[in-house]
This record gives sequence, C-alpha cells and structure tokens, in this order.
Amino acid sequence: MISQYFDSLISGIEAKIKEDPKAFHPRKKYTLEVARLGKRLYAREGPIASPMLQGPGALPTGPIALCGVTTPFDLLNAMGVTSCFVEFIGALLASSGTVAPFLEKAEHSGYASDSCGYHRAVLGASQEGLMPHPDFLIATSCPCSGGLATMENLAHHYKKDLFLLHIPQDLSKKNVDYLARQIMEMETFVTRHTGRPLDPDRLLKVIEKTNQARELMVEIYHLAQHIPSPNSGKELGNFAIVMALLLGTDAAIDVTRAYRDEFAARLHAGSSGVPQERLRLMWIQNRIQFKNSIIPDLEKNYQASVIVDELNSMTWDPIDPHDPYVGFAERAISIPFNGGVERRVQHLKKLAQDYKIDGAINPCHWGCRQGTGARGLIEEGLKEIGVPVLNLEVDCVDTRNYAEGQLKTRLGAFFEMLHSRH
Amino acid sequence: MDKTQKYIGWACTYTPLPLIEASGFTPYRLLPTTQAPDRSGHKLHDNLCPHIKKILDRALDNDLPPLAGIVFVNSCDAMHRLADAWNQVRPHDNTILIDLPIASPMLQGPGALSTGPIANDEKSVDFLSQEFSKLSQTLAEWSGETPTKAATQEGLSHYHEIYNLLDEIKNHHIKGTLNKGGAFMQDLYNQAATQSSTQTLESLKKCLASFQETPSLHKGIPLFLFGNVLPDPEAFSLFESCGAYIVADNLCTGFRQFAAYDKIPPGLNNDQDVFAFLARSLLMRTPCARTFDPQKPLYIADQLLAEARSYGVRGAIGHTVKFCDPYLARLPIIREVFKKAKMPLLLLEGDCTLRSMGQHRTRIEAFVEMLG
Repeated sequence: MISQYFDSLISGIEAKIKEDPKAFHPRKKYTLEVARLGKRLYAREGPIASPMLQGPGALPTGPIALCGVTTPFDLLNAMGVTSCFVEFIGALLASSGTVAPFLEKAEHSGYASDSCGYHRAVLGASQEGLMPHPDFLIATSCPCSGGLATMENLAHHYKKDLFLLHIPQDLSKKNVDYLARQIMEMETFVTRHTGRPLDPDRLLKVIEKTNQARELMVEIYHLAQHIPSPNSGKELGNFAIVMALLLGTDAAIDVTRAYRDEFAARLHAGSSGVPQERLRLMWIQNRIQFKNSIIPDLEKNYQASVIVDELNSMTWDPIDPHDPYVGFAERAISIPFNGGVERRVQHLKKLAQDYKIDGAINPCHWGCRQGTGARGLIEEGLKEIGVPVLNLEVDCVDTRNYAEGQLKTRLGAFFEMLHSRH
Repeated sequence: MDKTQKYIGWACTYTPLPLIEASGFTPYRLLPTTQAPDRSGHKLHDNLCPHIKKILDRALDNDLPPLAGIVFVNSCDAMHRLADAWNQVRPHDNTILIDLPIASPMLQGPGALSTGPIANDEKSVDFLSQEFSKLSQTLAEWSGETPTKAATQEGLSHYHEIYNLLDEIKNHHIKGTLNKGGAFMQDLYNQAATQSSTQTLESLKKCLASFQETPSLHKGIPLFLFGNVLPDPEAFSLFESCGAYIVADNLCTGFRQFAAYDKIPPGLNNDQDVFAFLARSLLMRTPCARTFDPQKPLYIADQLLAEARSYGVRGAIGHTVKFCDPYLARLPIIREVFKKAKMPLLLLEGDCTLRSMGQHRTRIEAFVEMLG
C-alpha cells in the first residue's frame, strides 16, 4: 500500500519534470528524493522470511535500519544501508493522510494518547505491518526519552538487534571521544549485520558529498536571511532534519543546489518568497505534518512568511574525511535539541537576530516532553530580545483533535499585535 | 529540618548519595509533596509529569530547606526540563546536571537478542564514573573541602548499612510480622531520603531494637506494587483500606532508592574505584524504565513479573504518574507479559497527590475483590 503511494508520487513528479524541466521547483526535487527514500524503505513490504542479505534470494534493497534522529546517516549510506529515523515515517503517514488508524491501533494496544503522536503512529503502523521491516535498529538518546522507548518497543516487536548511541550533553573533548568510540562500534555492529565491511574509499567519497551538501545548506540559510527573504513558508519545512537522511549522497547535493540556485535567482530578480513580505517569522521545533492551511493563510492574509525553522541552521563544522568519527560525534551533539534549554534559547535568539524575525510560532507538539516541555522558558528567552512567541496547542501528527478555526483566531490576534508593533 | 546540616537537594534515584555525604552534605530528596500553589505551568508545559512540576512548585514557593546545592540527573526529558527551569527560577542556586547513560550492564547472557559483543555497558560505566568524578569535584567546590578517603568510605559504609537495615525491616514487612503497614515503610523510606545517614541509621536501629516479632495480623490480599513516584505514606494506608496488602514495591520513591548499596566490595582504594563502583551499582540495580539493555529490549516486563512472583503475591499494581514517557511506553508490554503469565495486574495513573489516588479507590477495591 505505502510502496504504491511512493510509486505514484515519484511517477507524478517525474512526469511533471519531463513536461517542463524549467518550471521545476526545488521543493519538488526534495519531495522526489523523499519519495525515493520512502520507496526504498518500503521496497519489501510484507513479512520478510529471511534477513540474509547476500547470496541466493538476496533482498533487492539491501539492509534496512530504523534509527534515532541523531544517527550518522551518511555513515549508513556509505555502508549501503537504507535508513531513516522513525519519526520520519510518522510524518509521512501524517502527510499522506493515513495516520489516524495507526494512532488508534497504538492507543487500543495501550499506548497512552498523552504520548508523542509521531511515536504512537509508528508503533501502530508496526502492529499493522506497515512500517519498513528493519534488519536492525539504532537508537539515539537524543532528542528524547519517548523516542528511545519507541525504539526499544520496535526492537522487541521485530525481534531485531538494537544498537544504542548515548549522545552526551555538550561538546567537551571527553564527550566527543566517547560518542566517536560508540559510532565506531556502531560501524562494527552494522558490518556484523550486513556482512559488508565499510569501504574506506567509499566513506571518503561520502564525506566529501556530506561536506558539499553542508556548504550548499550554509549558502541557502545565508540567502534566506535577505530582506525580503527568497524563502517562503512551506519551502524549507522539515528541510534540515530530512536532509540528514540524504547526507553523503548525490541526492543531497542535487536538492541543496536546486534550493541555492533558486534562492539566488530570486534575489537576483528582486523577488521574494512571499510577495510584499511584511512579517518575518520563525517556526520553533517541528512543522504540522498533515495537510493544513495555516501557512498559506498567514502568507495571504498577513503577508507573514516563515523564513526560518529552528533546525534549519548549521551547527556543525565540515567533517574531516580522515577522522570522520569525531565529526559525526560533534554533529550529533551540536543539534539544538540536545543539552540544556539555555543553549537552545541562545540558538533561537541567534536565529531571530540573524533573520531579523518579528515573531515566532511554537506549535507545542502535544506529547513532546523534550521540545514542548520548556516552552515557557523559550518564550521568556525570546521575549528578552523583543521577539514575541505564539504558543499553540497542536499535535503535529494527529489530525483527530485538530481545530484549525481556533488556531486561526489565535494567529489572527498574534499578527494584529505584530502589525501594531511595525 | 536539622539546622546544623548542610543539605544538597536531589530528585532522581540515580543520584550517588554516598558522594554527597562524603563532601560533608546531607542528601535531601526533593519529594513532590507540597501544598505550594500550582505555578510551574508558567515555565513548563502542562504535559510534563507532575513529579517534576510539583518539585518546581516547591522551588517557586520556597517550600524547601536551605540548600547548599542541587544535584540533577539527566535521566529523562522531564528531569532535564526540571534542571532547566530550576536554573531559571532560582538562578543563584548551585546546581549540577549529571548525564546518565541509557544502557544497563545488567542483562548480559542468556535471553539476549544478539550474541555478539556490544560494549555499550562498559562504556556506560566509564562515562558515568567520569560524571561522578565531576560531581565530586563540584561538591568539593561547594563545600570548600576535598572529601577524604575516610569520609568516602564512611559514606559508602553508611548507605550499605542503611540498605541492610531497611532490607531487614522490609523482610519483616513481607512476612507480615512487622504489623505496621505500608505507610510505616514508606515513611521510613522518606526519612532515609531526606535526612543524614547517621540520623537514618539511628532511627532504623531503634526501629529494629523495639521490634518484636508477632504473628501476622494483616488480612489483606498480598500485592506487589511497581512504578515510579508514590511518596505519600497515606497512599499505602489507602491500599490497605481497600483490602490490599502491599507486600513489596519497586518504586523510585521506595526501596529502589537504596538498592545500589547492597554490596560494597573490598579494595575501593581510590576515588576512581569508588566512582566506578557507584556507576556500576546504580546502572545494575533494578532499573527505572528509562534504563535498558539494548540486547534485551523490554526485559523490564519479565523482571517485574519475576519480582512479583518472588514475593508470592496474588496480583500486582502498576502506579505511574501521568506523562511519564519511560513508563507509559513500556506498560503495554508489561500488561501483555503479566496477562500471559496469569498474574492479575491493575494499572493506575496518578499526579503525586492523594486526591488522585482516592479517585482510584473503587478500582482498587474491585481488583482486590476479584482476587479475594
């Protein structure tokens, strides 16, 4: 079922490209690569008789891993493993409009409706046989306790080996070395399960591609800061967190280059992402994943543009191809969701200043103790630099209690207040 | 409160209490029992567990003894958020956050999914040892004194003795010959968590000295209680008033707080040995749901079942506070394992108040009646 969805999505986008290559928007390229990843993850839908990956009867897609958010996906790409963080599947189910039965399945099985919707969605989907069937799993302690618990449940459900990466809280040398050693062990773990040792030459090439994509992302973020911004509300939604899955591949370079070129062209042409941009907004944490009209509505009615997301920023240095494990470790530790909230607030303040933000929207994803838990502290932190925050009450995955009318009323009041400050 | 003591606040059972004592401080557990108004929602989202919100309410209302510092542990998202919020509402307090690995080294061997070597466990111990080393240095800075070897040995020895004495009293309670009820046991745990080890030893010894074994008087249905936070002794009286007898518990406000100090090996000659011992013991003792061995996912369900069976109980009650992700995500499998084993199980959700327990009275009574 899901595989067919991706087939249809891919063929639709490819047909449009063929029809008019020049009208090709970078978001379409991004969506195409996401769909291709989805297709690879679901290429062997249905029960897997044997996890053997080589020899007669070898699986066509190669090994599949379900992971935590801060797994070094480029290392897995170098090892020929198709992988994603499980929340990616939760978001896909929500964006395709199919999530509700999976949430209900999880809740009927005893998973609390108070817990994170992303995790409930994947737990329900696993019970319905609609998650990618993993050969092994890699859990990460960052970003959240709920994610770890989900990975433990999935490992138990699939009876597959689980590797655990403990992501420490700060970038001290001790912590970086500790995580780098764990990542080396992860490589051994992966090799043991795939039967394919890491090819050092392939790793070198992968790191080069990671660094190229990184440079392009830095350019994209720099361009997006321009006034008016070439970015608009939906174009970079989920961008950096999903790009992490493609790092080390040509796809990552193609997608980031397309964005960079498009934004540069818009600036050259004097056009902006949102016509007559009046309000510049920051989106905190994660987007609402199911179809909704909030972003188009605020662009149309208030000339307000979400020009930066919390995770759309570069927090890590280029990876040293000759010592990549340290770079992987530093990257995982550096994400804004890791460590204390003070660090996160500093990160948000810097983004707000770099992008000259008028206000911020925090959807306060219900069930997220990690991200939403500290919303009062974030609000106060941004208030110190004069950036008001609108805290919404949304489950970013669960459509069942979504009340768009109420949200729009609150957004309307927020934008009136922002307009009055101009 | 004893005004001669210098207290260090703590909130998570992974806190190494002997290290705090070795630095001349008294570990004081920040229990979520307070009449302070509910104000933490301004700082933290309502969907965070009431355990940490109540503790933050205590901080906001100054419902605390004078504290020389607070030791937080990054055991779950909620605990981390508590540390974040505390630093904001009481910026002048000394605080430290100890990072805690996830992997438990306890479950190697038969039953593991993987047969290959995974060294997570040893690295976890090394990492936590270094965190304890950092804690020890910080405590020394706060106290102005470097802990002596003798003070460290005394801290370890005291908590080992506390473990033994509590274990002895607990065994009388399990046999039913203590005849003082679960509220008495919980009161002992609360005292041991909030006063100096010297005071605790004194009161535990007094308790045992006055103890006279009498035939069991309790007539309740023997049950095992597990979960996270339930510090109010009255909650145990409530169970008994419903016809239950809580034989033993696996709660983070119960005996588990002291379970890491059951054995003190000889030859802990230097600080590094002590830190490694404490790291290993804390990671190896009966775990909170947040700690697991990746080689045995969801083994907590089998552990709890085995523990319940070891006490010969007729059923079990799982009590968790709302919004606790580590437990909420493991309860479905715990329920499944207990069901398969035909061990009756009642799951309750609370908010650290007796009021929420009172709302469960009818369910507890029905559960007990069914087992009767």
